[in-house]
Formats: sequence, C-alpha cells, structure tokens
Amino acid sequence: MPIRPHEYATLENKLGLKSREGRDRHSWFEWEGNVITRTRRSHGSGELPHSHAIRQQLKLNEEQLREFLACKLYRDDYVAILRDKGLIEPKESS
Amino acid sequence: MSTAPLVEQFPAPPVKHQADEVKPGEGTVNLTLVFGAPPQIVQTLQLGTLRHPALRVIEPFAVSFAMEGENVRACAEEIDEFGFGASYSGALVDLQHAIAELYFTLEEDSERLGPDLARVWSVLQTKIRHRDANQAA
Repeated sequence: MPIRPHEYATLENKLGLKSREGRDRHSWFEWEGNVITRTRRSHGSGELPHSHAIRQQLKLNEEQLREFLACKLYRDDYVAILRDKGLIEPKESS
Repeated sequence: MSTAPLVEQFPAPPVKHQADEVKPGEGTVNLTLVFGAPPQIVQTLQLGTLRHPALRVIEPFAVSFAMEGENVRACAEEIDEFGFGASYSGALVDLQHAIAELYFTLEEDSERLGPDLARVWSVLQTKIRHRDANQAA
C-alpha cells in the first residue's frame, strides 16, 4: 500500500521512532537503548515510491501497517510485534 | 574498471521468413513470421563500488531490480536496503548512497544493535572496508 509523507510522520509518531535529517529522512526504533529497526524516506511531497521497502524495514505486514496508519495500533503493539519476531527479548515472566 | 553498461543491449529479435515454393501465376504464398523472445533488461548485477571516497567494497553486493510503478527499485536483499530512481542507474546510485550511509550509521551504533541490525552490520563488515587516508585522497 502506498504511503504519503504525512502518513510516514504518523508512523514515526505511532511507533515512537527517532529520526534525523540527512540526504533522506532516517528513522529508527529504539528499545531499552538498542536500535531494533530502521528505515528512511526520501524528501518530497508526493506518494513515497518505496512504501513496500519502508514496511519491510520496519518488519510490518500490510495489515499491521494499515492499522498503524488508522491509529488502531500503537507503540506497545509494535513492541509486541517485534517480540513475536524475536527482535526484542521476551518479557521476563514474574 | 569495467565500463560495461548497466543495461545490456540485446540485438533485434530474429525474423524468419518462410515461403512455399510457387510458380509464377499459380498457388498462394504462406508467410510465417517467427519472432524471438522480447528484448530483456538485466535483472541482477553484482555491485562492487559505493562511489564513496572513504569506503571500498571488497566483496560485491547482489542487487536485483524491479519496477515499482514508474520507478525502478534496486534491492540489496542481504542487507535489506533499497534504492529508487526513475531509471536503473538512478536507482543504483540511490542504493549506493543508502549503503554508505547505512554503513556509517550502524558503525556508530554498533555496540547497541538489535539482532536484525547486528546481522546487517556483520554482512557490511565482510563486504566493506575503510580506505586509508592516502587512498581516499
């Protein structure tokens, strides 16, 4: 699914990504001080040509991406997704 | 340094004319045109330079190309990095910049990478070296 620049900003916000400007806009997700996922978007106002790549780099499937953009999922859900994929260590059971 | 074009040019497809033998004024002529496969463009290549003065590629990256709308996507799957452009060469240049930037970013954060990015950093370390100051100059 295509992503527009304002939707990329929504993703940054909902996933709690940090970012910096360079040749492109770079965004990354940190958890407990570690960098877990990263992506980038080119500067420009139109539909981003590499939406598929952004989704892949953030380790999301189409449905998850859609739900983040629709504000149905938030940062905690992203943490759970990354845990399921083994990219974040599982919670210690109490 | 190789100067081979990024997009290989294929010759025009062969055309075979086949006609029955007929005598003047009698019979018909059947003409069969047999076309070869349509021209194709290169879909993969080995990328051996990043166009960056401080970095040297010692083991090439496998890059695949695909159309995405009107743009071309160049993908280095083993490091999960992509480049985009209006042409093949544009996408490749974008990918080269992206890989160089990725290298410096992960190098800076190398002590605090999650498992997937640590894997990517490991691949980059096997394929890229810093040029020494004399080489870069």
